[in-house]
Amino acid sequence: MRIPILFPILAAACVATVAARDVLDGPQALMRLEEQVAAVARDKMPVTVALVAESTGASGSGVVVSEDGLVLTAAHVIQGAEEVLVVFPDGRQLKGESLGANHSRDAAMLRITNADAPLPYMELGTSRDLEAGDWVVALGHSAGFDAARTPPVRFGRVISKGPGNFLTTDCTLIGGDSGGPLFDLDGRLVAIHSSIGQSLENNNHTGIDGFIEDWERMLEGEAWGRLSLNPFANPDMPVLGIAMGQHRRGGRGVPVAEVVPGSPAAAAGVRVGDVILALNDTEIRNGNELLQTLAKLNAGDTVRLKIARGRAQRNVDVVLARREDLFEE
Amino acid sequence: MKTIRILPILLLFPLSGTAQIQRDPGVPLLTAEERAVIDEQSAGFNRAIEPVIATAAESTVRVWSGTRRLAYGTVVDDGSIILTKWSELLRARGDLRVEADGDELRAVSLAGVYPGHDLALLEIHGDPLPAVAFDTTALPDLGSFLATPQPDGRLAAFGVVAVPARNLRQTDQAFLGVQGDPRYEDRGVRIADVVEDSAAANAGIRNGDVILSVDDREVNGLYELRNSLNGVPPGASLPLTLERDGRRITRDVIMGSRPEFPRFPGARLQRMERLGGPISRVRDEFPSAIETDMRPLPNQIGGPVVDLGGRVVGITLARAGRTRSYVMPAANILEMLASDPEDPAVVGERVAAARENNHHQGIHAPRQAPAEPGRGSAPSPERMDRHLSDMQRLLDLMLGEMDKLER
Repeated sequence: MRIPILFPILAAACVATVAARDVLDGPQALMRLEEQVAAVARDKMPVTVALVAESTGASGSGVVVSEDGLVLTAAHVIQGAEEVLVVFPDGRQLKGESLGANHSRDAAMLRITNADAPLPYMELGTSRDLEAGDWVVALGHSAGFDAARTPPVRFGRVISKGPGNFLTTDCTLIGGDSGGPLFDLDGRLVAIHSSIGQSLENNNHTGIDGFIEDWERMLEGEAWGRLSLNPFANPDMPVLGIAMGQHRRGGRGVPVAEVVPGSPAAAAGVRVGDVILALNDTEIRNGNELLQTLAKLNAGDTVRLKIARGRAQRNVDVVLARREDLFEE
Repeated sequence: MKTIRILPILLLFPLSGTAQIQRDPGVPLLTAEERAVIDEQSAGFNRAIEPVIATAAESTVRVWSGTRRLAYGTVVDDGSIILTKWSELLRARGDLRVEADGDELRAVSLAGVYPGHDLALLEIHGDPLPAVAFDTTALPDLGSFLATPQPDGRLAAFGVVAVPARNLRQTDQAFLGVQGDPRYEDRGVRIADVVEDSAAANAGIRNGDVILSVDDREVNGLYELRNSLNGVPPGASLPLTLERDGRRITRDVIMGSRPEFPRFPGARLQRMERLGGPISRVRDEFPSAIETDMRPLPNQIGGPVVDLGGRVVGITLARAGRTRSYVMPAANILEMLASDPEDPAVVGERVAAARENNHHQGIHAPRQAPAEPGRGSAPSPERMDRHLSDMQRLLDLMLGEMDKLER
């Protein structure tokens, strides 16, 4: 029996057909998957560092991304610490100094200052191409650095994506993993661990694309933004620029309670009292569905809203804005 | 300016250095389409792995006490013996029975205990069941796939090797007995304090000495010093190069045994370990364990673990937290089974005594050390039966205390 199941073929030999998704048709397919996971684990484990901020007592993880010692981590790991110890799984310990951070994305950068030779480092991938069902490998110093073991490997898949660079996987994380790396099956760094929820499926990561976007500012030592664990408050969340009204019992759609002046919705002529019925042909039954649908899109995307105004229905095109750009604090 | 009203409100715990916790029921942004992809993928994965675990499933039993599912067990030896998790048997109320796939419940009796491994032997009354063939040649390496079946052949848990096999017992780790000076910035590690009667003290190491290398490996910092002792057994002799009053000296140090510090992780970490489901009561200090990211329930512990070749490479030992479970490697199981188990009645008495003792001291003591080889006596069924009810009662009491602690 052939079992249809989605996963990207990412063996080095398959470069030409990387977009294809394979069928996991039994133990042989599992063995191929195992080889890829084991290879990522073997290669990347030695460069997954522990970060210990002696001044704050915090211990997290990080990942070396350049031979001259740039390290990426989560902003909350090095918050309030100028200097951190960088401990490698083989026991070597080096010194690091904080550079910049984008707290809104929980992204930060530091630099190792006393390496006497070029360091092994990880290759960056992209996070925007990841979708639910894509296999990923997580590493990190769970529960803090432990000399008696190497950073534990975890294997899972993307469960949900967005908004922006935010990713959710079922690679289970815990305290100490924050700042550690998430890899695709090619061993490219695709995200940095950030937070967890109650569910074993709720492990959240900051996509690498956000780090790449913020690279220069962090490198120059700039720190900005504000940490929020509400995914809808993510600065990269695409927004229409409306306030949602109370959902009417038995009613369809989302009533517009307010239109933010200067917002994409205002520009498209959306008015207070309109009811949003669909977005890009996806029926919208309530506010939660609207937010979920928006979270999977990107700022700059043009979406078509189906709107009820009085007894008439009309379609309007709206260019989505970044939440942070619209709602400057 | 008013912003979009959001539906799920999440609590914020922005403590640094530890993963932050969201309070929410599931994954807030999961769409129906994503859920469908994930569920289909899981179903396909499970079907793909079922042929791999099929044979091991025949040797997997569920251990019952009344209507309580206590644990899984692995049929070993000639098929009349079941290996299972000792501490979960302590939840028993009444007689123990086991269930194999499509079979009636069979009566079993407790035949022996390996307290150091938190494992027990059950003897089957009546016909034997298919026993597992442990494979000691297949050593699961980092990232290898592991799976453990339910008795009916479905998947109980899947995971990868997160950390290869290691000894989790603190007392099996070398202990030097020095405290480093954290303010010291130069080469080596300057000693701020030497623990009395420790390995370092016995070798004549003093406060103010600077450790430059351990066994010819340079140590520049406390983490490097700690790492240099990793894997070194107590009793081993290692040369230390020190700087004292500007002079370089060498001392051979006979390593001590790390004292068993009670493991009390921070309340925050403890809470996080339980995010995602219940965990085993006894979950640490195993002499040999592979760490995996499997997620068996505590009452699914004790069953066989196979690799993708279907080879039985171990058994599950504990669900230890949100991110990890432990597996005992096959070679260690066979080694353990070749030694005599302890008499359950004797272990029960010791558990009760420890409980009594702890009660007076108001603390929860570590588990009993394993018996030294050759010191256990062959269990006598008559004697065991006589003690079993007493033991059960005492263990119930202990369980009650443990439950209180868990809360």
